[in-house]
Amino acid sequence: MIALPASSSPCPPPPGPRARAHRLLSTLVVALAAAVLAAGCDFEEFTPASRIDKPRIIAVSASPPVIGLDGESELTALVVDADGRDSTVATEHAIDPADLDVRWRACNPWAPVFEPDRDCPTQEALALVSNDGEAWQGQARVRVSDVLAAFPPPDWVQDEIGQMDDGDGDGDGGEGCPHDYGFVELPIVVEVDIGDRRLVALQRLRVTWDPVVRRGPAIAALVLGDQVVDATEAGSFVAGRQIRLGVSMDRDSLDPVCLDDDPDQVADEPVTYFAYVTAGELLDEFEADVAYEVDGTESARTLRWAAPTGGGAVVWLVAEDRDGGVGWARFGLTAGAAAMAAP
Amino acid sequence: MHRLRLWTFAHIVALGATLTIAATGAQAEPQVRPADEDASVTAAAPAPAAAVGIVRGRVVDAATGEPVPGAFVGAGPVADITGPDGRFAIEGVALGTLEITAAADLYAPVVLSLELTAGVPIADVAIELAPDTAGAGEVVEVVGEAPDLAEAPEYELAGADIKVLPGSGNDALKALQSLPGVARVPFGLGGLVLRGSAPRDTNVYLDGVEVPLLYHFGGLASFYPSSMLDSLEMVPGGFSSEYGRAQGGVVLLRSRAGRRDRWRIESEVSLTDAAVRADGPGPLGGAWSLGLRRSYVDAVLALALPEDGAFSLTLAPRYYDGQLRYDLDLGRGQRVSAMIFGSDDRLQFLFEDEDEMDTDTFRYVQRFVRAAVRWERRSADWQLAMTPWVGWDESTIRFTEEGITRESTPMGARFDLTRSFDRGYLAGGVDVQGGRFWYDINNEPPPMPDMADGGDRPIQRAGAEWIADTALWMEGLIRLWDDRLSVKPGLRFERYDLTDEWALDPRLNLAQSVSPGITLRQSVGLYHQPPVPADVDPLFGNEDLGSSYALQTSAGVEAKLPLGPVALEASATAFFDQVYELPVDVVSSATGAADPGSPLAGGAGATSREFTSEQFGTYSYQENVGKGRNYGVETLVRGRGGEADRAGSWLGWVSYTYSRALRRYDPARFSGYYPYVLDQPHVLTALGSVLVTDHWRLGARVRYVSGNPITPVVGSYFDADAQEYRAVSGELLGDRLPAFFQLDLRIDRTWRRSWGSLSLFLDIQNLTNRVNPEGVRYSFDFSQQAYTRGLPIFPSLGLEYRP
Repeated sequence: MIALPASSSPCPPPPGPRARAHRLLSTLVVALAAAVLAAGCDFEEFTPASRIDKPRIIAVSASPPVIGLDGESELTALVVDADGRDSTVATEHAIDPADLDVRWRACNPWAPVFEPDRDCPTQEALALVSNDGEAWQGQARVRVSDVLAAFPPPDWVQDEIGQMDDGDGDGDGGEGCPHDYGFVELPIVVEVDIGDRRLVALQRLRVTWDPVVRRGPAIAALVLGDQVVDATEAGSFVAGRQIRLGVSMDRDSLDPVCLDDDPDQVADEPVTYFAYVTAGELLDEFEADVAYEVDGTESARTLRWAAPTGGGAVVWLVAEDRDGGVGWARFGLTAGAAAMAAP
Repeated sequence: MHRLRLWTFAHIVALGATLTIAATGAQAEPQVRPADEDASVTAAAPAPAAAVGIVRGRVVDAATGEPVPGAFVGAGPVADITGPDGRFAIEGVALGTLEITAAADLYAPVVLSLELTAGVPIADVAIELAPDTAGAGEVVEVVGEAPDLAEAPEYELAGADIKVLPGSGNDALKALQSLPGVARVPFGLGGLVLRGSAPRDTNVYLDGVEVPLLYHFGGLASFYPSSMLDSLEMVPGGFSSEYGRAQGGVVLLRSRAGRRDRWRIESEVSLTDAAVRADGPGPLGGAWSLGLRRSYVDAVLALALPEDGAFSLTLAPRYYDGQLRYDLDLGRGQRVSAMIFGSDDRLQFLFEDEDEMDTDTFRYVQRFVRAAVRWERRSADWQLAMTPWVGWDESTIRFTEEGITRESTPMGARFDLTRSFDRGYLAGGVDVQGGRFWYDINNEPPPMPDMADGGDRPIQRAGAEWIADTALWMEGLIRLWDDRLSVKPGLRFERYDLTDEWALDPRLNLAQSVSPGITLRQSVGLYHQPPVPADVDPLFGNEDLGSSYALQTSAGVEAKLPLGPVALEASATAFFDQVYELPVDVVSSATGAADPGSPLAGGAGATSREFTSEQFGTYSYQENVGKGRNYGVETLVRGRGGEADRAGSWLGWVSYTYSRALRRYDPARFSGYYPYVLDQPHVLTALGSVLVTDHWRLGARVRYVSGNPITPVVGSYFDADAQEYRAVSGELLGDRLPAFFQLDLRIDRTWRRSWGSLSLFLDIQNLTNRVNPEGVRYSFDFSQQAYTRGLPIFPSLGLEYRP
């Protein structure tokens, strides 16, 4: 995707290492000629988004991600840190609950929220009770009925919903894809205090008037080069090498969707996955798409990971589908024996 | 009004000493008629004693008695250009015996003598110019600024000076940026921000034909070689009713006619391009003028870049431009000029993964061509001109398959009629402009009212539309009170086809000569501007978008103070422009800094967007609910001394502009006015150039400019839906980048030989390699930031040959 013209900068990406030396004259001419173009292109390195070097929220899930007017959903924030710990409960890699304070609030769904503190301050939001769940710390539940009670929908919302709902419950206006649905977004804000840091995240939960059931995607395994690493296993990598990194999705967790150009054709819902690492570096990008054909064929792009030269690394994969459904998995990796001997 | 003119006439090289005319070619013998042959002088009624006087009068064709507009009339260090009625008025003339020189294209120059005394400080002069049958003489670039009395306040800048101004790289259009009222453009590029208006608010015309852009790649070089320009006029406000569709200013370029006596070829080579230009006689007694320029950065880079890099320039920045003009005198006051000119910029990057499994390209194309014919006929009191033209444009910016391609076949015609009277003139005309506009867009839509986050997948969309804007305009000029007061009312009535609107723009210019050498000028007027086709696309803009308009006002004073061997000028102009119904984004940009590149974020992204929006659209949903307010004061003190083109001669000036450019954005979200992204309250320029010896010239320019506004980031949050961080904005455009400071140096060396002259120049911009921030870049979570630096030290080296 490109956004024009704001992102239409002619600046090239940071140049990589040159394979061979250039003649002095060529270098001089290149420098002079490229000066005009490169005048505004600075190549200072920031910490990449994929690198976890401090406590961060890297995902917020709602289960289910789409709920009815009388429904409720369970909210979970995935908080991670540079040591490979996360906001799980009672695992060896869990962040100490004493260090973690999670607070949730539901915002007025009838007003836009661009900045949580400005547009959805605590005193104007519906506070949600936060408790540790069986697997995750600081979970909360949100009920649509509570939100509607706190923020009654204005008349224009009722009118619009009435116009969009044709009564058959499929949200498609009477024709088209049976898996489509109409919805409004319910902004949810989560605040996390961890150590001396305050983290804020915004998630938009879908509320539908159609009787659909949608789920969040589940990750089955990490694909690391030739390895398929289950979340319960320990994987290994070759230190200092560039390794292809991909995802294997739990196909049973994917909802059906209609093809854009043929509503009668149904395939598994595509997902976008994001990779976060505590060591090494994801080259180029840290997100990639996984798509499915009608016949079940999977088309998945992979990422390039420059593995660390030694020690271990933790990889979190976060998958997101079209409904706002989110799933994630953590993989603890160590440098393999062969890797340690690698140059 | 800032007016910069670069006049080219024949024959008057030797007159440069007294007229501050600088010859850039070899010296030539002047062809000067005795003063008493072609001119008569009458003394005006005695006026109060003064140190300076006025020379005024009329220049006419000796054969037909018709007025000669555009003629240069000089008296010592001051000069004027005749108006449509052939009249001129030179103020600030030192008392004593004077040499008055008059010259015009296709006429032999004239020199006459007269004497102004304290008792008779005003002289009325009638000058007859005989057609130049010899057609000989050296082509010279002059110099001269015409204080058209009924124009808005203006500045003079000698054309010959342009070629020695430090920091301009021998480029006439870049020289404009040293004038008061012109904001600094980021990255040392081109573009014009006049009195706080957006770049797209200024229209550029070459010989009456609107051109889509001024510079190659935004500023590497002007699209038209400076040496082929006859005049260049920049009017940042209060311009004539003859021009419209711009709420800022206009830039009027006039190309130079070829010589009729013999062919001459000249060339120029610089670090980035090479050009060859020629002019000479053609069939039927006409004259050709042609030029061709090509950059060769691409060829050099192709040899220099490694083949195994992940990033490669498959087509490095490459530009062409070409010009062809033919002039023919049809007799009986008729003349026809046919011209074609164009520009072609291309750039392509290639990005490859190491395994070459994944390849992306970035491609940029910006090209246009224009073909026009201008026919004019002049008689004693009438002047009629017609200029039909047609063109073709392409603007493409694509990243692999996604992006925008816009093509158009613009066309138009101008019909101008002027009737001269003893005390002024009446002029009017028709200005039609339109054409077929075609586009092919494959991109994600911007945020729209019913889709605040924009589209989540690219949309392929193509279409075409014919539009035709038609304008009728009229203006008159009357001189009153012994020519001490000039009044020029104007009216422009226009229909914008694209938006189905009618616009009526009344305008008024006043000037008073309060004493010899001191002139007051005022202007007020309405200036409408329609949106560009890219902004009214229903998927990528707002099809209901309408025009905006500005109420422009200005008042100024000019003083010319010849102090012995030093000619000193000073001026001050105050301006206030109020812009109404300004299109502003009403959907996105809700958080300022959270939307990099939006006008509300400021910095490099926002300013870059300002310079591309006319070609590619603003790519946002806008409504006419905004306002603009530009005000300030421009001051200029300029001096010149020594004998022109002689060792020790010098020129220099100090200009300071206090200017504020404010905008009121979507009133539903913001109250009050906020700084425009190119708001620069303080712009100070000091420059000087001295001819150290007959062959060496040294110049320097110093600039200090307030930093552009930015919206500070005061925090961030994680948008879990988008899996990315959003900035939390501080006060909207409430912060500024550090101030800009730059020192430029220029050295010229000239060799004059029997076979011609060679001129070598070295123009070094940012000599101290100072880091001037142009924007702020942030890490993914906005916890880290760094400045985007502007132009580093950048040398321009050029060699010019003239026979």
